[in-house]
Amino acid sequence: MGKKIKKENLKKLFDDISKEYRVIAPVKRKDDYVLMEVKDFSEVALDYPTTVLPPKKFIMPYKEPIFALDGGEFKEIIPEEKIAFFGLHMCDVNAIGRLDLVFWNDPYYKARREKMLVVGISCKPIETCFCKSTGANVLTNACDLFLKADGDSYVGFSMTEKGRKLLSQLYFGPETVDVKEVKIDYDEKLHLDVYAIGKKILEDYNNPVWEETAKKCLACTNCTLVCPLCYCFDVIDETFVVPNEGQRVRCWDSCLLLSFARVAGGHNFRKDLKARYRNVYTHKFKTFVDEFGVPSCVGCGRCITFCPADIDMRETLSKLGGA
Amino acid sequence: MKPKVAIFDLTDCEGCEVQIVNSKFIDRVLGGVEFVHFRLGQRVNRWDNFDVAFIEGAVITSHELELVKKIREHSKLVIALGSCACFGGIAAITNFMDREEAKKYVYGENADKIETLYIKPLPEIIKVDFMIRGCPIVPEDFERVVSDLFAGRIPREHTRPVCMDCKSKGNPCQLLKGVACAGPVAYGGCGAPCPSAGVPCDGCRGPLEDPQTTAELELLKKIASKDDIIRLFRKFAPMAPIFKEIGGGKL
Repeated sequence: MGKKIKKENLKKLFDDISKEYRVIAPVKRKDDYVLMEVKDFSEVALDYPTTVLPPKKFIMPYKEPIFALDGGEFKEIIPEEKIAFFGLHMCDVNAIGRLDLVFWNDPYYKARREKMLVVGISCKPIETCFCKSTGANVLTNACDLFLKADGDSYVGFSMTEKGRKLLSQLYFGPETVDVKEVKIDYDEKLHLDVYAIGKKILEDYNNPVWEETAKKCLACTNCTLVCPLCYCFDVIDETFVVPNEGQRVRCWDSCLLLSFARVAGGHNFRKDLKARYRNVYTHKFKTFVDEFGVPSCVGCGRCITFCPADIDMRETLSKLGGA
Repeated sequence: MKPKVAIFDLTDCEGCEVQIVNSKFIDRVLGGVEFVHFRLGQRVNRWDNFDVAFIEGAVITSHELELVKKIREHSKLVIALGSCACFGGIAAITNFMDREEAKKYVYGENADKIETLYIKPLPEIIKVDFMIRGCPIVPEDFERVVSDLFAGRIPREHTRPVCMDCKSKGNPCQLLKGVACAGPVAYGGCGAPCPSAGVPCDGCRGPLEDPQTTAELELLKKIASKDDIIRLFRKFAPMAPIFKEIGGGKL
């Protein structure tokens, strides 16, 4: 059951949330949109195609200190901030849900995530969207509150206790709407059976598509950085000149880099870019599915939008599927 | 006894030395080492045997050629400081020109009095133990190398392209805007100050390990002229491997 909220009342909802949380929302930049900290509701872009970086920018920051060495004493750094996302699309909300599958027992991730509020909002799918193919177009409890556009107003759906609290506020309702399932429905440019394709990756390991695409690939790592589910990280020890002061940081890494699969002694499991490029897909659509039942891709399309080399993940997948 | 450190400068702008002075940990560095030779930073300098010598700048005169050999003989470790030392730097653009004409263009009738050699990167002249790249270097790299040396570790190379510094900040992609950018093949760790300020990466830190040069050049040819591509790679690290070939016209 959902409750209606008038568009002009969204500000009240936002202000309520701001009292308790550091609010992160989509904001228009010159030619694109970014997720950033927002103090005033007027800065929020309610209608946007996609943001450059996904919510992971705030959930597991690019470079995150995990412990500090201070005068010879070790101090664990557990994040204490309370973050609220305001206005995430369904794909990004579900990406958080899939990150939960991997990181729920990670103390740094959990500390942020448990205190977090996620407010989703309707989207207008764009040309690069394929969330239906990845099953990420359906509302799940990764979202506390979802705002579905309905003419001039929105209908709020709560999925958690935090969401229900907000939904009980006076700026929602009294009108209610009965809906069994909240989902984003549209015609995808290319619908893919990603589960079937994922199974084929290992069976057809030397498919020419890897070689072809790797030739175009710059290994710039942009696709993995903008991916809401590429979570691989490196751990680096930094010392600040003097030997008893420093920190250990967790920093985003990318499996497209030569250094990624290099181990002590210098052996490298994925020397060729072809193998590294294939690894992105093997992990997303085969091994992750085997482990967690869903692909580690939500079809947000960022890897397509932000690839300077014009590589389209959907095309690679469909060639692999033999379509 | 504190390690004895020297910082020498050859033909350059001294910008990298300024970056060292800019380091927020300079007091810690000063507390940990003895600068026995640092012309830009102190008044009294002397020759000694150095534990570490940093050499900034390009070798352009025979005097500098002799000097770097002498520094090598006096030092346990030699570290090339900045892209002039590592890759010839801006001065090495003249390597792609007629040297006599370039001299006349710059010095006019005094050209005859000027000595200028073909500019080789420092590691081609003497043994260099590590390179701190960049035009200029970033203070963090200097701090990292000094920290590692203090801790008895081999300094770690950056293995990420400038794109990673850039996109992790959420910057718009220069290549997607149709601007020729060296980011994908450029050695990162700089924090991508150029694309963050809205201008493309010039690859001042030289090439990344395993750069996808063929794919990068294919892409650049679609958005830039051959001359522009050559200029891009000839700018700050003209004598770096790969960049040298592109700058020389091998596209």
